[in-house]
Amino acid sequence: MRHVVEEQEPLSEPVFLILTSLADGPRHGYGLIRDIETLSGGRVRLSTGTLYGALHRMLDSRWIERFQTDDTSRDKQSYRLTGTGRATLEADLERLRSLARAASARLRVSEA
Amino acid sequence: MLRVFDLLLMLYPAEYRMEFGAEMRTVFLELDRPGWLLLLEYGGLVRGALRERRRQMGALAGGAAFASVVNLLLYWYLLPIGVAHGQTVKQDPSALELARSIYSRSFTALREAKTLDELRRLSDEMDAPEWISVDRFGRTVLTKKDVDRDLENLLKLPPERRAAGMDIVWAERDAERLIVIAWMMPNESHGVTRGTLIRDIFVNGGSGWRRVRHDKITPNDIVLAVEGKAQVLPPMDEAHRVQR
Repeated sequence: MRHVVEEQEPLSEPVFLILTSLADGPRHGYGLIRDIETLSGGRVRLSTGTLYGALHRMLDSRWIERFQTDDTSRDKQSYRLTGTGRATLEADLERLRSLARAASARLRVSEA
Repeated sequence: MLRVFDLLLMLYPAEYRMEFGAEMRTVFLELDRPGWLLLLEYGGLVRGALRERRRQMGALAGGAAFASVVNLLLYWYLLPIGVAHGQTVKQDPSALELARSIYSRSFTALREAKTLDELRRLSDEMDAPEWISVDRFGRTVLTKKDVDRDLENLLKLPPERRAAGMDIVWAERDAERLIVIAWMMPNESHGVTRGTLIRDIFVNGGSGWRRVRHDKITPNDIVLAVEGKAQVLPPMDEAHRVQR
């Protein structure tokens, strides 16, 4: 019998950053864009189209959900991470850690 | 600047615009990007629109371009009855029952309401604060605030005229959402049945099922039947009927 292990595709950078930004609490669109600029040291500036395309897919995958806050309205929605979203982020983080470990090990060997 | 943004937003599918358009516009205004970053914004919108169109087409007809273009227009209204995929999709009885119970309860309460406070409570139970009514061109024509402002006039109507008759064509649900496509029919007169095809979307939140959107898909008062003879779509059977 063949066992199939389903593995998650690596997250794209915008998706990774959005999940990371939501990891410490809900944010609305503008807050996400600004926080991601800070997180990436100014390197990643998401456009509105990229942000909402990613949010749309992440809502569909139930990685995030809409969250009611005092200033929620039709034109200002907040989003927060779901359990699935957190698990997805953790899985991708583990993948990156393992890659980083492997790369560091090889660098050490080549430098020795 | 905003005009270009609005024009580019038109490239997105209507459903997407309804869901995210207002929000994207607000974020764009808040960002207030200068110079070349504006070009980045516009580029992001074009790419995003193409991606959403591709997603929508892929979901519809497995890449058959012509069918996809046709389906783009009809997707939301024909998919539930299986036409878009050429499949037979069966009505989920639990969705139909849930829809009937929501409307039935609401229509009864509407008929029995004697004070403005009762109507306000009913409106809050039925519709979420973000509720909107959208016409067939995708324009928002009413908000919950508009409806609440008009409750006084509703109270003046005789009880039997406060709710329309309703035949549910299709109801579908998951844990969070319920959609209902139905013919809403005002008073029948002279053997002529008139009606409007609508779609309501309910969301199951902390306060139970509440409607967030009401789409009027066709113009008001299409003639559905004359002297019992169907002109557009026959009235449904008793299992689909919500008594006024």
